Amino acid sequence: MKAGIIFTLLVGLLLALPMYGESTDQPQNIKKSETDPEIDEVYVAHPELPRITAEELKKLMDEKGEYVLVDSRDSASYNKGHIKGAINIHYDPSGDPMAREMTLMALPMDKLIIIYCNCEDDEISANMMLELYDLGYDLNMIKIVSRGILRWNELGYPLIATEK
Amino acid sequence: MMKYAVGYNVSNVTGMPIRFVGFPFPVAGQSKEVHRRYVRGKDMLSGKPMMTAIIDALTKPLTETEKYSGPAPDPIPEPRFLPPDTEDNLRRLFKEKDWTDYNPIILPTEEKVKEMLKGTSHPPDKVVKIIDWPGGKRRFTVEKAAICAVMAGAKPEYFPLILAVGTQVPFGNSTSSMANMILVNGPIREELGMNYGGNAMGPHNEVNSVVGRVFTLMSKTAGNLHHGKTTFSSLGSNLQYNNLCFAENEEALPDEWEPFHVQMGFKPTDSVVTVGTGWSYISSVGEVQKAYPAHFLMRDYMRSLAAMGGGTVLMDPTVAALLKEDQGFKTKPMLGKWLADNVEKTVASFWGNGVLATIFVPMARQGLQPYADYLKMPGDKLIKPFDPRSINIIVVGGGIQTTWFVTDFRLGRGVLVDNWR
Repeated sequence: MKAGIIFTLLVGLLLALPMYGESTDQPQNIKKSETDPEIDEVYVAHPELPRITAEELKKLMDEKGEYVLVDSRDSASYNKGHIKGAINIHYDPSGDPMAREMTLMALPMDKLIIIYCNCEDDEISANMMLELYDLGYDLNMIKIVSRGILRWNELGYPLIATEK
Repeated sequence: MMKYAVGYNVSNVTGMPIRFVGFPFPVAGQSKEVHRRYVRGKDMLSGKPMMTAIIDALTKPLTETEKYSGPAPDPIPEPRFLPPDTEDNLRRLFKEKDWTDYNPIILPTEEKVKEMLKGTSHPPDKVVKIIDWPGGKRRFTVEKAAICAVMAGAKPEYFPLILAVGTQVPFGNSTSSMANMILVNGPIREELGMNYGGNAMGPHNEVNSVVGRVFTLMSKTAGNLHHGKTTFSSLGSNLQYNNLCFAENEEALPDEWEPFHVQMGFKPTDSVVTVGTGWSYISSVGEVQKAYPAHFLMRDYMRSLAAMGGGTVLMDPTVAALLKEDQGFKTKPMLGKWLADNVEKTVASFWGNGVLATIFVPMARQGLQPYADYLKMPGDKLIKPFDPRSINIIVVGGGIQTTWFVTDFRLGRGVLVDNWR
């Protein structure tokens, strides 16, 4: 029996999206204003998500507050220099999602989680935070360090290297 | 593992092509002698002696292809339509392509897919999810979900629920026996006629059966999960045929026990589907005994779970009533907290789980608590590995017998079905 035209299934049929935006000479977080193209606006990923400044994090550290600090950069960057007390969970959106999910699930649900990245726009920290939210974590128990380690370095705060 | 390296384009996941050598599996838990044999053996990719292959991979000049830097190349699309053929031939083709779960399917003709698309207001090309593993970014669209829905035998009215489930594809991909759980809450249960009463976990309801099955078909096709090519579970899991798809018996909840979606912050009138990930599913086997209340036996059984931080207990309404009225658990969280406070296992047993050891030990070594402390403890030290916030209590069943399951499934954030109508 002829079954007529049959839809092909999806394996490989799928049109890929570009992974990254087009390259540009200006910093990635500087975008033209939608209301006035003459004006540059600083783009911040998910501005609605809770932030903590580097200054506030330093104060929290000095006061020995209770929190888990997460460095989302790759291990080489982490080993070279990270904020004291940070654990390294390299957040790679293009990696195996199951491995990523199970790694994130090691983080406690009952402690404040503070995430930093090496990005002006907090994009990586924000994506990690949203994935934690999808896993059932409370957004009120997670904060992003605004401008991450870039701001930390601007302020001249110390970093430590991983001992070999 | 050779095919794992070459079966899909994993080589660009770090932004550039990577050279691989192929070791045999398993590695974890094997003796040093076995590891030495692997090292002295041959690279499974090139057939060269292993160390020669490693030195070559590290030192030989890059080829033109290997000089590429950037995201993984786009997947090669297949045509949207297959040429006409006989029904038997087409069924054979779907199996040859591994596009099915090897139960009979409805062939997704253009007419049937169009009919399915009437179940939602969303356009066929709307992206439900971008799936980026394994290999390249792929747009999983409403139309592609409709194709899978037709194949599984769904009706158009199921389609909003199926689309909401589609935001969570693919199913767990691991060399372990990972599986998923699909929990439905809210008015959609009644609207579609899902079974949340007697035999809700069995093959006795079309919606429970079909919606669970669609998740598998979407995972295998859009998710590109094919055994021996992109997924390599040693044992697999029968749970992946239906993905534990069921609805909560909200009407039979004791007073003050909230439906799961309400606990998660949704309104009672919201229709919500929640997908969880786990491995284990243990039945109480028999009914509750007065001399040893249900929560005692739940505690005992939960000691054997992997304790990836969470778990989900499924219980008949009669068990919920006993726990509330006779044992004083006024709310679900009270029971979850009691279980977290009382489920103990030894440190050795905790680290004896390979998934936990592989993933949590590196973070424990960096000081993440409580795992850093666990590493320092003697093996026979008892710990309480469950977090009360991630122990979920779900009431399901027909009130026929006081039975229950404990599972290590950890439920994620719910998805509003109403957004996909």
